[in-house]
Amino acid sequence: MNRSIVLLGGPDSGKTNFVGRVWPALDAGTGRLHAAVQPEDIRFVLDVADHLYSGNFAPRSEHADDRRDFEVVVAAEKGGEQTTIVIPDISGELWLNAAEHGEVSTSLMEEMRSANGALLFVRVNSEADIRPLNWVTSKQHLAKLGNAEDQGLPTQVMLCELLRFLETSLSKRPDGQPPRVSIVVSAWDIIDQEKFVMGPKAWLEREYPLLAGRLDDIEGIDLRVFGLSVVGGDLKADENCRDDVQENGLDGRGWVAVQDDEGIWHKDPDLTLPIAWAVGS
Amino acid sequence: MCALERDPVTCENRIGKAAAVTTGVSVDVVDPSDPTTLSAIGSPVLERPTGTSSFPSSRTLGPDAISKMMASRYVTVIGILGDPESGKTACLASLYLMISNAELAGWKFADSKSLMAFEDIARGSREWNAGNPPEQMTVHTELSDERRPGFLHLRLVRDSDGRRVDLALPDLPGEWTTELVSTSRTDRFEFLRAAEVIWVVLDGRALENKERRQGVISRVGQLAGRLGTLFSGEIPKLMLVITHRDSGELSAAVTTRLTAELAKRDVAATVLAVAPFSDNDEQVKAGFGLDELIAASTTSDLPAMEFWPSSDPVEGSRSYIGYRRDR
Repeated sequence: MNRSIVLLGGPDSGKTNFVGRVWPALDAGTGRLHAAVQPEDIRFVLDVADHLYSGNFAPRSEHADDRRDFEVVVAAEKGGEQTTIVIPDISGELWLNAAEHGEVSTSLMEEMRSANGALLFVRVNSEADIRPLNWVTSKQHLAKLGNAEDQGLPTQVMLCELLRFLETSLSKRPDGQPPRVSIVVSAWDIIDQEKFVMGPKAWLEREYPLLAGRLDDIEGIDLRVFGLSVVGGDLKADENCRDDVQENGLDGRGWVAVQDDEGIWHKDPDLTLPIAWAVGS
Repeated sequence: MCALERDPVTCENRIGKAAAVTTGVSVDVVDPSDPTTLSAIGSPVLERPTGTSSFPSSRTLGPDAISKMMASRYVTVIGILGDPESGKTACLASLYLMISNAELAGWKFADSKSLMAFEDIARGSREWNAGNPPEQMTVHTELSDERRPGFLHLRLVRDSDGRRVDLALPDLPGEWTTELVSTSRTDRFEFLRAAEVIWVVLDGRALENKERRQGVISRVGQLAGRLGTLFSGEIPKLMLVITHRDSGELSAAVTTRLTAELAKRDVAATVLAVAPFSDNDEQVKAGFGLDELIAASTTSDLPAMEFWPSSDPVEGSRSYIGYRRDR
């Protein structure tokens, strides 16, 4: 069976590093999903993984037309049903443009329509984060004073628009159930323990109230929020983490924050969870 | 032939004639016996543009979109009237800023089918065509480079009881209100018949200015008269929204004069002071009064009725046998 899921998110939202990290996780076969066969073309994920192995996060995809797809056949259990997952990695700038102008290329639209799952990324402390307008700036804009700096589309508005695009384009799942979207809050290792306990949804409510409101109101899509740390630490700031990755590789590093039945958030080492849930495994 | 009536030789987008262009020979005089020229006949001369597909717009909505929405859920239509520069746009922009910064007391954002329109208004990236504002509401298509009259949609959740409220807020040029008052042009206000609440937005500074005050009050009276005709006397809940509260508190005498002017036409209104923006943030915060405005606009004037009143059982009252015995 062929299934495709879409990865969305603005610039510097953590999509590429996730794809690069999830391949070794699929290959290791210890998670909910595992790679049933070795894909033909793994250049993209190897490139990203090389960055991680060297102790660095992969740099942002800088060009709006940069596009690299990763196609992998996965299965939930050995010898079980195989599903081909196509994960198009499309630059954050392209998604930002799409949100601003309300349009995408016809080929991407077709892919979104044929997909029945998606991962929407947002990163803690992203350098590309754009805060909502405040009254001072808005007043300058309205008064046409000319000294107001146009910061661009606020991140939360972009995310709401991307979610709306998914709502209008994703197909229902083969069993007739609504499509699933994993909201992935990346760099979740940066936040302190107090915020970890509250969970990524509470963080979204504080940082992006418009997006959080939409998540509670959306119909026609099943949503689940995950926290993500691709290597279990900040390779830029945490020297121990960087040394350990360089010395011992990525095995056993990284986790996904998930909420259990009792509402408690905990770290699960299975990095395939956001994809596994979105494809319905 | 160039659609722009320019010389095809100079067209930078033209393909397949590179040789002719580089040699400076006009495409009209190339040798027809040349087999390469013949093979080029009928081939595309311009590059195929990259196809794009659009998602449904989230800019202003037309009356038809609001009607469709009203068919599936309860939508509170709010009529917003006010002369140019009275502060209508500022109210909408500030309301959006309060929601996007989670500062609207008692309410949370749930959805907006016109999120980009709100964003555009707050960024001042669109304005009415000065001196020549649009004549009619947006119907279907919206040009992204032009501000079109239409509705803004907002779904809010009330903190106290989780009730979801859908608001349809029209974004209209002030000239429409001016013409309604001065020449009774009502055709563009048909949508008001579906409104539950009408905000009449007034510039608080004009009301505090002795030279302008009576003129503004007189126009409010005339507007009430027009509304009375439009609604055949049954005007929905009317709210006088006085902007620029940051410039000072409206004196009681002015409020009394406004109410008295309306009373001449048997119209009552609630007067609310707001400060969408503030030049005096320490005394009056930007967004002052908007939470109260939304609360007042979404609360019914009818007395609260308990649908299924509960009562404590009284021992020995034999309620089952006694049910409806008193009727």
